[in-house]
Amino acid sequence: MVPYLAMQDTRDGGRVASQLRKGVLEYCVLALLRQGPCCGVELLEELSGASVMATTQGTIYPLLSRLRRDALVDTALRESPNGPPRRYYALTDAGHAALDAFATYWPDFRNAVNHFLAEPMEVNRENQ
Amino acid sequence: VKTSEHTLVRRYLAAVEQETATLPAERRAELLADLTEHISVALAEAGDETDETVQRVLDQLGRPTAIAETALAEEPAPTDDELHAGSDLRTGLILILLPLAGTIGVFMRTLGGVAAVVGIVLLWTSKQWNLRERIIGTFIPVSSLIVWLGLELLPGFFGVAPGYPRLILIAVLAPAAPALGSVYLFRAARRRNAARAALRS
Repeated sequence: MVPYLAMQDTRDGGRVASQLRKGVLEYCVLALLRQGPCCGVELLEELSGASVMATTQGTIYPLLSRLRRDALVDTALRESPNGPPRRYYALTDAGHAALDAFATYWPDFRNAVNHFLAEPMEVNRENQ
Repeated sequence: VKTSEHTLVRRYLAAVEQETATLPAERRAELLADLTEHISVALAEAGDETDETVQRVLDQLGRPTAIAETALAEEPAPTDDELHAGSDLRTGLILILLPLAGTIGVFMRTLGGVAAVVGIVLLWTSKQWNLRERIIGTFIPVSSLIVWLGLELLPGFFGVAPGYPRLILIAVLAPAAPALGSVYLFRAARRRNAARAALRS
């Protein structure tokens, strides 16, 4: 949690993290559900383990709601030994397909970003 | 104790409800149910329901405005028709009818009354404003009367001696009140539309 809070304090660190998270958070959620159904609180615990994915907890629920509407996840209420029944989210076939599509595309995307970050001035240098 | 009956929780959920006034009712109900369940589960895992624990759970859950912004951003973008023709005309009518009712109602009661009723119905069926803004808007047609009565019944309330300074204050503030109310609604709608546009980009 500490690195995340520290990052939010720098002027643009929080903004960068939040912009990046916006694009990939739903695929991280789908990936977490690959191992089996989870409830919202469990998903949030897993996400907060990676400081850059730690999000304002409550904002996960509108995201989960959209994933359900898009039929990427299914929900079911399950009794819990501790507290009230919990809503569990499970990957649907469409959810698996969306995750596979992302997993196929992601390495190229990541490599392209790494490439530009590592060699930002390549073109300019060749011109000089 | 049921989670949703805790004062802090009730206040928190009410804030989320107000901030998501423009969300479809079904979506808002689902969000509130999800948040309620999250709070119950988090409190069950914490093992106690002291004010400190409840406050910590709510702090971690995040600001109601942040949650509302995300929820609104997850909505499919409104079509150009929804954004412009319909809602612009309606918004314009509301912003004109309500202060008009407050002004001409003084001279022409029937016409003023009709303008007030139409304006208020349009206001409450519009998706531009949240509950507090709607309530304030509803008082626009009678705002001159409220200002006049307030200054008449509470002389010295603003530290003004009885007599003509108070009359000047009434003469300036009473006619201006409906217009100021309309400006308030206009600014609230503009702020919200700018926020929505920013979220979509």
